[in-house]
Amino acid sequence: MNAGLRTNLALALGIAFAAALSIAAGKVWLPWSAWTFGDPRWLIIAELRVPRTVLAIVVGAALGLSGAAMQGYLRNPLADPGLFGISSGAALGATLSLYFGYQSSPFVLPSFALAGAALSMFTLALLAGRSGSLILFALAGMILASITSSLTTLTISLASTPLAASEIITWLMGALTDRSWDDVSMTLPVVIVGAVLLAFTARSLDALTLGEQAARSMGVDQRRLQWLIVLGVGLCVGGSVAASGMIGFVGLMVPHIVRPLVGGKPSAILLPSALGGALLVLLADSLVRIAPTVSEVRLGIAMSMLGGPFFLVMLMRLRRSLA
Amino acid sequence: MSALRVEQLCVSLRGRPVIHDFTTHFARGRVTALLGPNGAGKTTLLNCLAGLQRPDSGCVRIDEVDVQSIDRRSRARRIGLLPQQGEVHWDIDVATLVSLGRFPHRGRWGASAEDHQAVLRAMAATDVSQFAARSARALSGGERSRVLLARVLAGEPEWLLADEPLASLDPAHQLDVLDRLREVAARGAGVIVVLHDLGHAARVADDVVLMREGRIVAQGPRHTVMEAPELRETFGIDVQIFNVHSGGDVVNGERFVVPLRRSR
Amino acid sequence: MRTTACLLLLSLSIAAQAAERPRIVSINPCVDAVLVRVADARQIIGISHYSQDPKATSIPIEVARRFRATSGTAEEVVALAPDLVMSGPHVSPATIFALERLHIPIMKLTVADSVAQSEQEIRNIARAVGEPARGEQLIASIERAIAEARPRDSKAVPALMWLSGGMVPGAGTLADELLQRTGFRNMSAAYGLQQWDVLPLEYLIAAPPALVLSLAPEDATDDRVLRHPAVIKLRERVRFRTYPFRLLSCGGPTIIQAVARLSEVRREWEPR
Repeated sequence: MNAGLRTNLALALGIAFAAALSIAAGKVWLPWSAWTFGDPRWLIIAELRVPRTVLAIVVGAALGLSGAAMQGYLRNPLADPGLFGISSGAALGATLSLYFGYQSSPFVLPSFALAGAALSMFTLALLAGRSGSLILFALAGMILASITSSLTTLTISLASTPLAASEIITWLMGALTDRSWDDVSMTLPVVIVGAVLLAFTARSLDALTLGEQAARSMGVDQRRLQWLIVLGVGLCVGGSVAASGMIGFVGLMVPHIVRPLVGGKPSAILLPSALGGALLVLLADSLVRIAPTVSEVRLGIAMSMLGGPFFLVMLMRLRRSLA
Repeated sequence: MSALRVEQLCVSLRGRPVIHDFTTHFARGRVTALLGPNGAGKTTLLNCLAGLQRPDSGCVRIDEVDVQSIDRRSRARRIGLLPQQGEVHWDIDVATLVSLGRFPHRGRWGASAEDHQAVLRAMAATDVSQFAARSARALSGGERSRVLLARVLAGEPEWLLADEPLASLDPAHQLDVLDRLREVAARGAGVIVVLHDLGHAARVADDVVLMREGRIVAQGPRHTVMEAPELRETFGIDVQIFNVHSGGDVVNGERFVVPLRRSR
Repeated sequence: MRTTACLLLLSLSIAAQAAERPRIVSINPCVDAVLVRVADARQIIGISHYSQDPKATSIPIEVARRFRATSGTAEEVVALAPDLVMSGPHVSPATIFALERLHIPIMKLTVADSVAQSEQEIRNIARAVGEPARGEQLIASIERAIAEARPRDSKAVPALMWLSGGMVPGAGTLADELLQRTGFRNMSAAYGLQQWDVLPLEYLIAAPPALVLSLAPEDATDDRVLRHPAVIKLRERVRFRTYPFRLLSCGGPTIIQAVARLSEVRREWEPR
C-alpha cells in the first residue's frame, strides 16, 4: 500500500471520528435519551448538528482542494485560493444582501454570494483576457480583491446603525452556526462541479512541475488549464463563502501539512488536501462549540488563530534548515 | 524519408524581429548542431520547431504538415523539447520526474506497462537508474541535467530538440550525453541540438546550421561548415583544426576544431 | 409587519391556552430589560448572555443572574423548548430560519428610535407575555420619569452626545428625543448628520456646543479622540460630562435612568 493510499485512508478515518465528535459537540449537552426519534431534542441533532457537520466537510474539502490546485498551478507553495479575488467578490454579494435586508428565504443570502462569485469570475475573464500569462492573472486577481473588499467596507460604513454594521462584520468573520439542510442543498452541487473541474487539471499540474515551456512542449493546453482552474476554484470558493462566510488559511495550510506525507507531486496532493481540509474544519468547528466561552468563537477567527502559529513553526524550521 | 522543413520563417518577439527568412531542413536519423553567437535566435528557432512559437510568416512543416496545425498531443508525442532552463518546482523523486515525459502518451487510466518500460529505458540510457528513488532536488547540477534528458527520452519522440544540454556537466558526462544523442539519432530520431562548444559540435553533429542575428550564415555537412571561413567570421575567432589519431589511425575521420584566439 | 403577524398568531394561541402563560426565551439584552419588569419570573426561561455581562447589561446584575443565559444559537434555544422567542432586529439569518424550521415562533423587535415607539414595543411585549397591565405600569413610570426630568427653564442648551471614536447619534434617534425632552438641543442636526454618523472634529471645533456628553463604559477614563489637543483647548469653553454607554443602547426601562442622568447634567444650567 503506497504512501498516498495510506494517507487518504487515515484521513478518511479521521473524518469519520471528527464527524461523530461534531454531532456530539455543542453548547447543549444531549444525553443518550435525546437521540431517539420521538424526543423533541432529536431536532437539534437532525436539523442543526448533522447538516452543520456535513457542511463543515463540504466547505473544508472545497477549500483544501482549491488551495492544492492553486499552489500546483502557480507553482508556489504560498498560494491561497483567495488570490483570484473570487472569495472577496462572494463576500461582497453576501454583504449587500445583509445591507439591504433581503431575508425572505434562506436561499437569498447564498444566492447573492454565488452571484458575487460569478460576477468576479466574469470580471477576471474580462481583465485577464485571452492570454495564458500567470502574472497578468495574478494582477487581475489582486485588482478584483482590492476593489471588492473596499466596496464591502464601504457598504459596512454606510450601514445605518452600529448594530447593523456589526451584523455584517460578524457574518464576514465566518461561521457554520445554525446552518441547515437548505444551505447544504445549495452549496453541495456547486462544490461538486468545482471539484470535478479541478480533478481534470491533475495531470497538467504535474507537467507544470517542469516549468511552462516544458509543459507546453509536452502538450499541456495552457489556456484550457487556466480556465479549468479559475472556474473550479471559483465554484469551490464561492460555494464555501456562500455557506459560511470567509474562512481563510485552510487552503494555505492543508497542502503544506499533506505534502511531506504523500510527496510533492501536485496531482497526488489533491485528494489528501480535500480530505485534510474537511478534517481540519470539522475539528475547528467542534472546538469552537466545546470551548468554555459564552458564545461560539467565530470559525474564521479560530482558523486565523491556527494559521499564525502554523506558519511561525514553518518559518522556524526553514530558518534552522538554512542556517 | 521524413523531414522537418523550415520555409522562409520570420519571427519577431515583443516587436523585435528575431528570425529572418530562415529556410532549412532537418533529416531523421541525423544529428544537426545549431551554432551561433548569443542572441542569434537559436532558442526561438527551437521553439518554432516544437510548435510553441507562432511565426509571423513562413512555416515549419513536419512530413509536409504545418506543425502549427497538428493537435497538441500528437505534436508532443512526436517532438520532444529539452529547454535550457531546467526548472523542477516540486520536491519529487527522479522516477516520477522521468515518468512525466510520458505525459503525451498517457491513456485515461494511468501508466501502462509500456510507459514503465520507456521510463526504465530512458533512465538506463542516461545512467540515472541508481537515483530513481532519490529526490530530484537533492541531485547535483550534472545529475539533474541527465535526469531532465531522461525525461525527454522517455517520451521516445521522433524529433529531439535540445537547448544546450551539456551545461554544468563534467567532461565524462558531457561525452556520455553526446553519445546518447548519437544513439537516439542512430535509432531513427532526428536530433537538433544547440551547442556552444565547437569541439562538441564537431564530435556529435552530422550536419551543422550556423546562424547569426536570425539569419543562416552557412549550413551543410559538418566538415564543410566547420572549416568554412564563415565560422571564423561569425564568432570572430581563429580556429585550429586537428585530425584525431588513435594509435596511428584516424578515428572515424574525426577532425577536431579548437578555438585559438580572437581574430584581429 | 412581521410583528403584527406574529402577534396575531400569538394572541390566538395564548387565548387557546387560557391560564397557561407562554414560556419566553429572549436573545436580546434590551428585550430582557423589559421582560424582567413585565413578565412573571417563571415565564422567562432564557435571557441573552449580554445581560449577565456587567459592561453590556441593561438589568441589574443580581437580577440577571437569577435567569439562565444563552448565546443566542438555535440549538440552545430549542433545548429550552420555549413557546416564543424574542429577538432584536439584527439576528443572524441562519438562526431565524433554523427556528422557523423547528416551528418555534419568533418575535422580532425593533431598535426604538423614539419614546413612543419604545412604549409601543413595551405594549407588544407585555401583550405577548400575557401581562398587558404591567406593561402599562412600566409605561407610566417612564412617562413620570420624563415629566420629572423636564427642565425648570425654557432654554434649549446645545449639546452633543459623543460615542467613542467619533460616532454621534443624529436626528431621528431615541437619544435625540431624550435630549430634547430634557432641555437640550441636539447639535448633530445642525452639523447635518443623519441617524448615526461620524462627526469630523473640525465641525465640532468650528461650532462647538455648550455640552458634550461623552459616552463611555462606566469604568472608562477617557476617549482617544477627546484627548486631541484641539479638543482639550475646547474644554475651556465647552463642558464635558460622561454618560453611561449602556443607557444609550436600549429604550424601555433604561429611559428612566437615562432621563435622570440627563436632567442631573441639565441642572447645571439652571439659575440658582
